[in-house]
Amino acid sequence: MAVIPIGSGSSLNNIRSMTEGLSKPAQPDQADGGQGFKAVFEQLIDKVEETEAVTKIDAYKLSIGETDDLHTMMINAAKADIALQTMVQLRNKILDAYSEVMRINL
Amino acid sequence: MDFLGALNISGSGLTAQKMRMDVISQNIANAQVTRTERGTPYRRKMVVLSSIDGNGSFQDALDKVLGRRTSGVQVKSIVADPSPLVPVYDPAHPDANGEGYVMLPNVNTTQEMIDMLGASRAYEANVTAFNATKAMALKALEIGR
Repeated sequence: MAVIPIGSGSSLNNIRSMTEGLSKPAQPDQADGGQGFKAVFEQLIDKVEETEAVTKIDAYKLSIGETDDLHTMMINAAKADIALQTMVQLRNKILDAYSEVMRINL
Repeated sequence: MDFLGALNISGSGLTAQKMRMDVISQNIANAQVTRTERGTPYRRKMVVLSSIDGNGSFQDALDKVLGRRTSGVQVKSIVADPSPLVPVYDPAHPDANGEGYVMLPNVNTTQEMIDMLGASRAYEANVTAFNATKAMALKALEIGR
C-alpha cells in the first residue's frame, strides 16, 4: 500500500470530517501547503470552540436547574473532550511535518 | 454515519431508558390512586419504544444537516395498560361503588420493580457502549504516535 504524504488533501479531509461530527460540508481541497495548514487549524479551533461553548451552556443550565437530563450534558462534555484531543494530536502532527520541512538543508 | 453519530445513538438510548424509568416511578407512586383528575382510578402506563432507522435516503441527509436524529431509539408513545382494574371489597372507602367495591389501579408493584431493574441495567449498558465508543475514538488518535 502506497504511503500517503501528509501534504495531500485526502487524509486530512478524512480526519477533518471525523471532527466535524454534525457533518458540515467538507471544505474544498487546498492546493498549496501553507494555506492548507492554516485553514485546517482555523476549522479545528472553531469546532473546538463550538463544543466548549456547548459545555459551558450546559454547566450553566445545570446550575440554574433547567436541564432534566444529565446524560446529554455529559455526552456534550465527552464530545468536547474528543474534539480537543483531536485538535491537539493534529497540531502535533502538523508541527512535526512543518519542522521536517524546515530541516531541509538548502 | 459519521463517527460521532454513535455517541448520539447511545444518547438517544439513555433518554429512552430514563423516560421508561420516569413512567415506572409514576406507576409505583400512583399505585393506590383511586381518583385522578378525570375521576377514574389510575391506570398503569407503559412506554412504547421504536427505533429510528437511517436508510440512506434524501430525507435522511436532510435530517442530518438539520440536526435531527437519523438513528437510535425514540419513545413512540406512552399508553395506558388496558388490563382490568383490581376490585377490592371496602365499603367504608369514599370511592366505593354500589356493591362496596373499590377499583384499584392495575399496578403490580413486583412487576414494576422488575421493570425498574431492567431499565437501570439498560441505562448502564448504554453508558458502557458510549464509553467504549469514546475509547475507540481516543485510541484512534494514537495512530502513528
